[in-house]
Amino acid sequence: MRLVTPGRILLVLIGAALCCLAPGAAEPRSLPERVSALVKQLDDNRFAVRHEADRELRSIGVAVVPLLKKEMETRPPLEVYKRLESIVTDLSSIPWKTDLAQAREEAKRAGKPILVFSTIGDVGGFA
Amino acid sequence: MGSNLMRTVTFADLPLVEYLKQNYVVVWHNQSPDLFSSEAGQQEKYTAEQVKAYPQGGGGGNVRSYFCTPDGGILYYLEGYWSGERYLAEARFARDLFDKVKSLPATEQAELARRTLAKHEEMINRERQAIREQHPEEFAGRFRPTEVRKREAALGLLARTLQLSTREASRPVPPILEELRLANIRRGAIK
Repeated sequence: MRLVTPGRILLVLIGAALCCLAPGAAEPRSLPERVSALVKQLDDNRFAVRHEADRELRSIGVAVVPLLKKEMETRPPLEVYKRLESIVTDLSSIPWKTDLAQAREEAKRAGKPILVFSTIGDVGGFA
Repeated sequence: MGSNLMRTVTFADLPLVEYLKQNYVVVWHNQSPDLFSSEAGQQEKYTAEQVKAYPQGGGGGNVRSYFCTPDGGILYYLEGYWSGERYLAEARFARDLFDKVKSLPATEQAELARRTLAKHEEMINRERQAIREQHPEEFAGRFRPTEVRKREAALGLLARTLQLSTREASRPVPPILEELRLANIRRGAIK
């Protein structure tokens, strides 16, 4: 029979702690796994956790949109659904401006070029 | 239809959306704000087949994209409806052009822009020629609206747009937008 000594217990605890501290040890590997975990966090009781999950999902960019649409089809709780809807809308739409002077100011500040799309009809439609 | 397709198809293309957000300040200019708006009537919806059948480059002068410096000087001008993929390629080209000329004085900016546009036109024409050489049977006899012919015709329109671009390069965009509005008034499109 093997003896459980205090030394052995200490070694097991140190090993477990090192596993938890290893970079990426607890993180899901693939994007779908990561997104799924973040979506679960959108339903967390703590506001800070929900807020951080929302921020992280947005930071992934458009690659997350098809995955979030799938999550929306699973009928999550209403608050989660609303958050998902908001993230999908924000990530998949272009923030058009209608004031060229304002756009020029922003472009100068950001050092970006301007794209002017000119047509008959407004952003909402027609033509 | 070209305008509506740009709004609902091209500008809904996710890689394009992300690229434009990161690389441009984007402005929507309505050439006829007094007459046509989303509240003016029922918006037409199109089937996937109709979208596929609509030619790239279609829509002409009613569908214009001006890629400009932060001061509003035109670098590159694109006319008509383009798929998300082609529009993204042209937006990348215009962004690269901007990065090349941004630190130059205005006169040199215009000159370099013209030279770069001319090279881009050559490249488009080579792409067009390659299609003709790869599919000679498509170009023998009467015109048939096959995918190959449509692709080749679209490149022809793109090359034409590049010629217009070369003329427009370095012109300020605000007076052009005003000209468009006035032209619509003259045509009686706007009260």
